[in-house]
Amino acid sequence: MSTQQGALDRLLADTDNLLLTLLENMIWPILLLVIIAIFIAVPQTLSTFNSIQLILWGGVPIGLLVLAESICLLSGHFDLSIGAIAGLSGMLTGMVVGTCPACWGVSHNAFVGFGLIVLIGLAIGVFNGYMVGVVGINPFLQTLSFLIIVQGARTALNTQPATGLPSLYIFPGSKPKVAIGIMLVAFVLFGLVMRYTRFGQAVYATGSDERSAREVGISTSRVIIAVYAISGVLSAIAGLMITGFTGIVPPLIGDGLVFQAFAGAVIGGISLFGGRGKVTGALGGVILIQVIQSALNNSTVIGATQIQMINGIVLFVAILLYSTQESIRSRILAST
Amino acid sequence: MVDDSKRHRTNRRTYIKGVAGAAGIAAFAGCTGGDGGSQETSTTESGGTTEKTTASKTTTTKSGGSSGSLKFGFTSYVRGGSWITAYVEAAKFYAQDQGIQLDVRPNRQSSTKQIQDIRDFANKGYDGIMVGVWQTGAAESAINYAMDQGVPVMSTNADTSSSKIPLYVGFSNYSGGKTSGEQMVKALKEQYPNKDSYHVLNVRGIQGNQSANQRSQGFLDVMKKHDNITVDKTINGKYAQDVAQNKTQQYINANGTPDGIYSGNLSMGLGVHGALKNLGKLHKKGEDGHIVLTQMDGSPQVNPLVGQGFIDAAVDQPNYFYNPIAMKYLKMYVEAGGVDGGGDSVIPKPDTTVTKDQFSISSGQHKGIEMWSKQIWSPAPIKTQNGHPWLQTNSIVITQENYDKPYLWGNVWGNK
Repeated sequence: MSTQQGALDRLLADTDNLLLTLLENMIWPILLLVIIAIFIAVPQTLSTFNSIQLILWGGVPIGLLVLAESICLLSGHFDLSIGAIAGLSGMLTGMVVGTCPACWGVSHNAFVGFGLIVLIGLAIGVFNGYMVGVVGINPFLQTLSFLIIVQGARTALNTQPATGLPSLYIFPGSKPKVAIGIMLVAFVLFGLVMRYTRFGQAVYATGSDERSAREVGISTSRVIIAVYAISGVLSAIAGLMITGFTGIVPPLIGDGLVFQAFAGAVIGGISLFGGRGKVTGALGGVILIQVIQSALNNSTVIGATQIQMINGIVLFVAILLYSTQESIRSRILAST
Repeated sequence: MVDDSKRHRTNRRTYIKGVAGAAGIAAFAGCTGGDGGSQETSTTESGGTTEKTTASKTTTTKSGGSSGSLKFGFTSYVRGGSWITAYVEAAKFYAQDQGIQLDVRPNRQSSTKQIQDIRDFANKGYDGIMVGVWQTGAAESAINYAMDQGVPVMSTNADTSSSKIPLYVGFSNYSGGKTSGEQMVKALKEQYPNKDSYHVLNVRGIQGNQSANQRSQGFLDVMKKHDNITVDKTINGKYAQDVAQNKTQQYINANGTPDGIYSGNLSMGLGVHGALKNLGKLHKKGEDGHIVLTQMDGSPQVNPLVGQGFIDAAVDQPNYFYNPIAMKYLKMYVEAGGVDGGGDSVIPKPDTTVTKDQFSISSGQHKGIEMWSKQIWSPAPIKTQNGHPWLQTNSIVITQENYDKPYLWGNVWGNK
């Protein structure tokens, strides 16, 4: 009898674990269902390898921003300035290495460009992290003010495209396979870091409960600075990818991307409250958003005026799923 | 009771009016001759009467000495970019040519700053104000305040909701879209003379944005008139190059190649160009497989692409004329008596058309060219918008025939 009871308990525990695992990876079955629906409704969207490649290529900058936001969210913080950092780092570097009439043309060396763009993102990220982690400024206020400052700085620099960029500088973003490769490598790399390194575990711990993390010896302020630094660097690389994609630095570079990045992270299962979610899930969120956007764009039935509304509905459904997932998870954990 | 500042302004304007009158008499008597030429005679149709005004490089105001020279304030978005530089710098050049003191104040992308500056111009007794309105409704109270103080205000490029201003000078986004549509029809017939029907794509700006709506609607209305042209899809390019490029290349890859693509601004036009390049579908005009491209806006980047034959036509604005036109009308307005006097008599009436034979901007040497030598803003119908007259400047179509001409702002300011 007791053996039977034990077996039943183990089965229930296994079922709960399975359910929890399923909930954590819910993005993938959802993505599968959406892809099937798109194959039926707008088949031309995914008809060829080139179609898939174009969707992923277009999604590279937002993918990197989703990754940046996901890491911030996992630490229990968030960064509203990611799109603006992509914009400023892209424009400032473009002005330095470009040869357009408005550009400064300081150097035409691509490696100067690579170094500078990363450095700008890193500097802004570290500053954000310092203000949040050490000075103690609310992340919303800090990153909102930097969104405004950084976006304003980009506009002040130039409102026309920065052109005449070194061909090597635009190469990574201009070649679909290279750009997609960079995005996938970034996701895999940070997926491994978050799962298998002390730093990754410290980020999760800080995101779950900052005080407890401090009590077990984690320097949370260092973790926060590091998280914002990573966010800044990834945002800058997103700026580099947009630059490569268009071959120039567009004047509106980085505008309107922050909310898409939040949506991608949340749809991918990253908790808004920190400490929970997987980087690979965020990748699923990026792919889901890009595939849906592409299907809406490619459909000859749905007009431009309806797309925004449908996008809103998709986000709303994602939020509903997220809430449902949270409540199911709470119920399972409460019952164990 | 008249406050001191208003009395001061009235006296100043009375003086200006007097000097202008004296110089006018001298001009009719053939005695101006100061700079040995470049005299400009313009005629303004005004309520059935024809009024003749005379201006020359050594203007009447200049000859009156510094106390008689006009002082105008100008508030606008001025940051970076060659389009806005052309728009603002042309105002400075024209003021310099005409001996007008011009105080240019950047609005720093803030309607509050713009409101403060308009009020400051009015309080300091400037003779007139030009406003490139930052937010349509926001500046209304400040503009009304200035008008009530007797300081005339004219808006350029972006209009105000105030019905009190004597004139707005700007381009019609709807007409621009329509012209782009007409260019599309013409180019489709030239590129594909044997085709019976055509498929086109409309890449529009931000959903809900007024100029984006008008630019798109103007184009679509022309397409509707042609039964053999189908607009397959309207793509929201959000006025951004990367968005337009991404969406256009995905659409074409999924749905096949259209015969023509219209883009609602220069960034999206460059995005469409990039999309076709990425897809290996970029061919020059006249070559097999060329997709007809028309768009709004020329620019230093767009004009060469038109010249090379990748873009068939771009509909551009005469942006470097906006402020000189407004400044000239402001000057005439003040000299005719201003807000409290007969200023309105010099403003063209709605439902008339101003042409270069009636009104023109004197050319001057700037940036290595004879600026304003071709009056590309003409003809300009006078419409009514927000309860005030609107001098709706003509658009200019950039084609392979004129893409490198110095009267296109992109060829002058883009090469600096």
